[in-house]
Amino acid sequence: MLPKSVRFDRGTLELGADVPSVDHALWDPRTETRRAAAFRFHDIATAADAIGMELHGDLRRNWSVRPLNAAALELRSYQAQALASWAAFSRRGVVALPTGAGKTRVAIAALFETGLPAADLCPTKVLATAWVDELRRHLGEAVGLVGDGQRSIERVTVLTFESAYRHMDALGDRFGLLVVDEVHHFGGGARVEALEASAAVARLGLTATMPEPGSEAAARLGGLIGPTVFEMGYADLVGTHLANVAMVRVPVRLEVDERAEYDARMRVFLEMRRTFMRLHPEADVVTLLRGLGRTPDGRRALRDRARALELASFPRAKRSLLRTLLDRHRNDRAIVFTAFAENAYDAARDNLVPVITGETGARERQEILAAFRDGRVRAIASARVLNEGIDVPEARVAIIVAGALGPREHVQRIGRVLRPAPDKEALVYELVTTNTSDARRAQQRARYAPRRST
Amino acid sequence: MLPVGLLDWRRTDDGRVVARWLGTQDESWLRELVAEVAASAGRTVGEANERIAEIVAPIAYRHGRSRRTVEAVWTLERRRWSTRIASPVPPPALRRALFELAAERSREEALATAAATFNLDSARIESLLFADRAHVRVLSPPVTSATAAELVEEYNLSLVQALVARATEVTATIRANLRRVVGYSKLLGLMATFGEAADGATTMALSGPLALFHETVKYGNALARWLPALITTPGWSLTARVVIEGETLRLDLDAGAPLPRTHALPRAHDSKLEAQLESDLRRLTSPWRFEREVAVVRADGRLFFPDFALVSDKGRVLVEIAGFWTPDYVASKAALLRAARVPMIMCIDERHAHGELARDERVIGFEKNVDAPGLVAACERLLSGSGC
Repeated sequence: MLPKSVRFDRGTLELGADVPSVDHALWDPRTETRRAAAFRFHDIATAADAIGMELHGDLRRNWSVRPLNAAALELRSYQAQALASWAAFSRRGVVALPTGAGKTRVAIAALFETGLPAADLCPTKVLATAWVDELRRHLGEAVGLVGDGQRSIERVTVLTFESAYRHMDALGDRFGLLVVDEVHHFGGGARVEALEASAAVARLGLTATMPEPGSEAAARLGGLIGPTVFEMGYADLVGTHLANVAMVRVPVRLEVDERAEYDARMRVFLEMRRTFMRLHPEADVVTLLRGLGRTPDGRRALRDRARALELASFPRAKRSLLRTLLDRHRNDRAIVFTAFAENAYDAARDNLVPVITGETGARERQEILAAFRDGRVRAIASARVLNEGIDVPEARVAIIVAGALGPREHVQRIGRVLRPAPDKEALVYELVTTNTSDARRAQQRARYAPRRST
Repeated sequence: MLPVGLLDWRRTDDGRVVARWLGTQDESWLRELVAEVAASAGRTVGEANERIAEIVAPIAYRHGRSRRTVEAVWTLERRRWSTRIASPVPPPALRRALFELAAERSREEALATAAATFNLDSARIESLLFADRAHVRVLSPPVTSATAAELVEEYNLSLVQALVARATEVTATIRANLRRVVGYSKLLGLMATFGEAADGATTMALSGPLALFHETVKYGNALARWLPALITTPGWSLTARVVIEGETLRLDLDAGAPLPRTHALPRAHDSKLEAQLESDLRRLTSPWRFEREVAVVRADGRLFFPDFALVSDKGRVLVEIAGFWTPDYVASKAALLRAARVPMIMCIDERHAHGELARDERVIGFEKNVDAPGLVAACERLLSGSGC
């Protein structure tokens, strides 16, 4: 029997001497074999195919291919274009569509058309269970889940990013298609091993916010997933395929005692920042925070600043305004977004609405989302968990109490209420505390919000 | 392991990370802390944390330790405690009922209806709404408390494991129990290259498969879990590249570090067979002596850890006792023998020494025990050149 040309080994490939030379394969002194990261399997298989070489141990032979007709999905025109474009780029690349435009549908169509066993990666356990439901509904077969306390492996399996980072080296040879939801998370380089350890030859990244072309993040995603093969923004879809949206910004003021506390807590930090920036004019925010964190006084100033930011994020005026808004929209379905989990719990207690945070267990989370869809509850409060991907087309009103993660988070949150429905007009309230860091953050993210279609 | 925010270490000018250990001098404040912590029984996690936050600074100040060290000890101690939800009604059931009521009625009406349903008053309903959140659960103490000395050991090991968990690569020097230590690393999915230190000890550079292509901390947890196995070996040392606070620093440790041996020392013998053989060789009073720790040998592209070596003034012969019996295993032993470039003898159950193994003079068959005089004779033959 011939020795194996390719052997999957814990997220890498051991290559036999017969395998044609490919870039990025290195001699591994630990095993005295040539080795490549598993995601290079596409290059290796393509090089072998080009010279008509049969790869012994070819992982593709283990993948049962069961294509389905994607016509049953009734893709919208732009979704079909996205899929065709991805197919034209050798089934490798990123589709960038705004939240609510149906990226999931594009991914399911890719699963149908390729028929390959697939790993579907998503950032949170909340999203993972949503993906499992959606895939099971369309594919009519068991769908695996790794993450959220579960570990079932099926032909199509959903993994959270964290689980994929930990376990892809044991599973990476099983899947021919890799779908990565919210793929921009990997642009920074953290946990890219989740993608490297997969041997999938077809790769589809999904995002609403692709990194800037030419940036390091874009180059990294290009290498691990492929180029951006299709891109559409809010402007292309709002009013047609996405609900029209009205943005309402409501300024509030700190009360006298709150203002005094805010100013007192910020004072030392602002003084230290001025001094630091005089000494290090080129320093960015990370350098500043790291620099201050090295001294006890600096750490105290940072703690005070954090408390001031919390105060500005959910002062009494916002709390009161939130009660008014939820009362006004009793007959709508609303999502309340806060900057911090504690504020989400405060909002839940004040208004007797369910809350979904990282502490919420899987079963209760599912029950809350089901109750929201059925209309048994009219609002959900959340800090970050609902930022991405949760499909709640019934939601019409978003109340952004405060944000902590910048423009990307803002766009994602607004997208939660843009899922189209007949005669739907989405409404986004943004509560902003004037003359505080909260107002500055709101200003920075404002230019990323969608404009109303006329 | 401890969370990164609680790690107490310092950076040296030459780019090293140095752990700040606890020692016997710390036991007095640890006892003080444990006594304070004991008063937390029956309090909520949040209340206990607040109480600890109040006493951390004075203890740290009085004993010249950092606050994070004191907090870290509480974090370790806290893991021994259990919690319970102080509510007569499961809070999720309460929430489900109340929030659905509130979608249809006013806040007051919803609370009143829920209060009647659960036979509690409205204020109590509100206070129990999130009684299952982690910080409002009530603390119950462990059956037996840790002693100050145990806390010192646990803290030091947790600190160093948390640092190693941020390592991209570890290089260790191993002077004993090599097979066990290497075997454990394999079990954890790690990979290694081997070398020899100036004093003849084995050095082992450990990382994971993807570390060949770029620095990664993916295998940090496996490295941290492997560390206690290394610590069991006398005279060990270790150098790691650790990524912490955005910098890559060097961590140097050795057997002088105040770290506990949490793993049992591996047995001296892999099998009764081996123990019996060593005893028989001693009784022979031959010039051949038994050497247990043998450096790694590479043969046929694989690493080989001989069971022991027999050494005399004529030279050194590696000895492997084939321990179990499958066709693949026996075939791999035959391949090993073919590729070996050093004097080596294999002892194998004579029922399985077929084919080329049966013809090889370097193979000694045995029935129950290995014949010690026969083995010595084979070594003599091998080194005199007739058998190798």
